Amino acid sequence: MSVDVWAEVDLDAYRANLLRVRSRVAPAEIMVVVKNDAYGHGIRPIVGAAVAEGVRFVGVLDPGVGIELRASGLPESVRLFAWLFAADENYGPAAAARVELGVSSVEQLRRIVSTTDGPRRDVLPRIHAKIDTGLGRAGARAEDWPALVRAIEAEARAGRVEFVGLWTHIAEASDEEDSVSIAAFERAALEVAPERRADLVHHLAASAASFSRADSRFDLVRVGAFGYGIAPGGGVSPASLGLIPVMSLHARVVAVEGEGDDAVAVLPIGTADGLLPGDVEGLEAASGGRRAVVSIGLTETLVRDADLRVGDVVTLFGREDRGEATLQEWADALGTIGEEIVVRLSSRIERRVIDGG
Amino acid sequence: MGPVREARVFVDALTRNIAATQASGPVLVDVSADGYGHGTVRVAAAARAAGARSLFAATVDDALRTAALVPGADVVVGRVAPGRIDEIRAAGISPLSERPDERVGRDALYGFDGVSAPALSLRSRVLSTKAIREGDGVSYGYTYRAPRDGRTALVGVGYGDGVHRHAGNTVSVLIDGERLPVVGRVAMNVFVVFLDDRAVADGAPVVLFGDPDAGEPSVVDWAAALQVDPAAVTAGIAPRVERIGA
Repeated sequence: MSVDVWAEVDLDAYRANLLRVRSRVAPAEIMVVVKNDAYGHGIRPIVGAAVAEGVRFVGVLDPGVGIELRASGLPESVRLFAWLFAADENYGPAAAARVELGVSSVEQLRRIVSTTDGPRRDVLPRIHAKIDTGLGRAGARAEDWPALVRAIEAEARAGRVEFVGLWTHIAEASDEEDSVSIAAFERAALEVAPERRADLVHHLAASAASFSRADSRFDLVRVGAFGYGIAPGGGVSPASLGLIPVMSLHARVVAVEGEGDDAVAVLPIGTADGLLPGDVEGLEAASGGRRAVVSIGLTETLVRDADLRVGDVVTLFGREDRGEATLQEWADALGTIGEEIVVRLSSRIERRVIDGG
Repeated sequence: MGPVREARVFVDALTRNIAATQASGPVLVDVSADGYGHGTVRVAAAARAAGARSLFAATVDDALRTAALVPGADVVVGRVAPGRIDEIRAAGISPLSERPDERVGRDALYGFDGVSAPALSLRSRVLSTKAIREGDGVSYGYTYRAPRDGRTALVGVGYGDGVHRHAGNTVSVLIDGERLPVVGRVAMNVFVVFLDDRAVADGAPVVLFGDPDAGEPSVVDWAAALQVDPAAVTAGIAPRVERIGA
């Protein structure tokens, strides 16, 4: 619980953003990405809102999170997808909970098969094979890809796995380089036998690419940032994309220091609560429609607005339509992206969910 | 193998640091922000073992949380808005302004001063390794390209776990006894290390920072490289990172 600092999470805004993205990327479907406690927004209300809107794919990253969601009653018609696993992962519980698995190597496939070989063989592990199309993180490199596809096909024929998807991540370094990655993905798909390929869910793009490029969408796009109304930065505002920020961060003035025009208001939040250090140009908060410069310390933030009084509520980042600074403005001023700011925000700060239905 | 996301808290180091600081007079042990990520309950136990009787939290919300987590503790709060004074009194919390002779101890308690022993180690595991060719890009925006053929390791922590996103191309980590560079942008859940031609096993431990006496990078060096406060580094470690008392 926190009284002097809280983050408002507006589910109406989240629903509106999903609608916006879905209409943009259709006929591709969306997978809502809810890793890191739904980017710090709170996974339960976010998943609840998405599923109520008819979203059929939820990306969880961690298998344990998917298992918990399933145990909480999420129906099997909602497909869960996980893609970060320890080298010694036991895949049994995830497979049993019908959490689908991103797979990058033959070694990982072998481990999936060996750890799911038990009494629940009726529930086969579902595999999304990942090709590395340039990002250089997970995924099989092009030279290792044919062997991975052959191995998955063999395990599928043997009835030990279900082959359900093909996927990759792209670097979004430039349009040209993304085009190279998209072409590499299309080539990689041809490795799969044609009769099987048609049944696989193909997914490549996350929010930004799916919005801007029709050729990135394939069957499914993974929507994290844009669902939360987080714009990519570099001056591009959420409103310019038709998105509404879901999270607004508010704090109450607990003291005023100095006098007259030099007075500064003190907010009880700082880098110890996950904010990034900021005494930088362009970093502003808002109260009562007025903007003021802020500087962020370890446990306190100072607001240079001589009209603020103890008890006043200051919005650190929030909504353009209320005259507030946006997360994207904060990210640009702090030299990062909005995602880092929201996922760093301490879990001690209460999330207050607004749900107008 | 241990967890992919692990923060080891050295309770003995905390106890020794607190005891050393107490030697020159009583201190209020600063447990703001969950003991700057070390865990309020764990730090409170160390304080008790070191003979420190009072805990400090900078804000009212934090002081109330501390009082709830450590029943019976003497809790002091840094700043109180007039409207919340009754609330803190009811919880048995004193405002700092009423304890003029006591000092708040922080940097030396947690080893943030570069002199006393650090009390927290952030660790991960290699998820997998793979080949990379000269000129291949790594991670979003391709801010790094491999200078030659070699291998990379994918490590299972990222900025969503508290590793600052700007750590890419800036810091190094310890794998198999060697300091190796974090290359490309740190992503929300992973980062990449260039191994050159080294063979590293899947699941190998990765130390981001830890005990300098054991040859590990210190949190002070890590924070300095990133130009952030060491307290913000440890406080920013997400709850999804498993805390293990050591």
